[in-house]
Amino acid sequence: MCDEMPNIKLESSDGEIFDVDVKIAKCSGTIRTMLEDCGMEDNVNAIVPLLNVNSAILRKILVWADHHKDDPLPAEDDENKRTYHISLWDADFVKVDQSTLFDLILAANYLDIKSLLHVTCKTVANMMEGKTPEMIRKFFNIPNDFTPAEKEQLGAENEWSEEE
Amino acid sequence: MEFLDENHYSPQSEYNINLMNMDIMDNLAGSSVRCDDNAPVPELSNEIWIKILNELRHADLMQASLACKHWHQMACIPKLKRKSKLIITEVLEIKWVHGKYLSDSLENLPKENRLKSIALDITENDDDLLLLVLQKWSNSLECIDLVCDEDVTSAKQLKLTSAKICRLKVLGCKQNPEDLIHYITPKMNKTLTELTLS
Repeated sequence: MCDEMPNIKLESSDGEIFDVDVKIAKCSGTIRTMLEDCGMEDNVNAIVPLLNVNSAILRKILVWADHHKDDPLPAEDDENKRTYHISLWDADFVKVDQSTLFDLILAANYLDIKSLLHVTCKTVANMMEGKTPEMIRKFFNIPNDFTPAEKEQLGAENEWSEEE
Repeated sequence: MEFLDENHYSPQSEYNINLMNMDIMDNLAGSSVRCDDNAPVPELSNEIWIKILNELRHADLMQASLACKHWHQMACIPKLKRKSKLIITEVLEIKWVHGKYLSDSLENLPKENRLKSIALDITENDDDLLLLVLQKWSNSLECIDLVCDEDVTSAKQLKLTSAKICRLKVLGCKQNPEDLIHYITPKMNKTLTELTLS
């Protein structure tokens, strides 16, 4: 047992280098695979390039990973077993504007951090809760591209909210 | 029809508060920092949107599916249809609803939901509905109230009912009551405590 955890270097898409505890970096399935498959684990000077994550998001992700570094790894088939509870810390962590939240989702997906992906997706889903289609469109800035005929057809099954 | 959704209110209340804050934050950002219409929100792949839609309760999924064509398509994929959040609901009793909505709901409602009581108004077109119900919940149904408009084959289907049935009411059935009893008694004669045929 050594007292000091080895560090590795992560490089964000905009070229910033982050010196990170290996244990924290391994929250990411993508990084875990890279380290194990490429035998980079023992190479102290190795730099892992993360082409899809900018420094602002990577900084946030590392805060997440640090907070969750001692969590047990989720089981592979967690699709049905996952918990629906979001901890207060997590809820606070995702209290960001929409584009940051979406960036976090993309980064969590790219880095394969399942728990973060779940929490962020669940947060977006919570935003839709109780909203009418029109409110959802407004919220996510989606144009209504149904033709009047389609609208009528769908209207037979579902109530449309016409409020603007 | 009653959907008792235990997860509906309790855990979410705290997020509603958060969301209100978020709305405000977004509005502020929208007016002061960004151009109103083109907020630089990154695009998410279908795969991710489906993950998100997958977290919605059934009613919210229906609303989301009306937002635009793309979402409508995504909301219709079998994975989401099947896994509508009715799964976390415990429906024990269904009363007098008919039409397309009911058959959709019954198809979506998983077997694992141990439906105990159902009251159905069966018209000719709904004939398959009774069959669906009887096959799906043969192990849990205890009470069945039926109104038949026509002498449909549904009476024969009743022989598929479980041995747990303790109350059976069949109204408006033109079938000979003796024939009806012939279909249903072999299994039910031990548990049935209330039988009404008219």
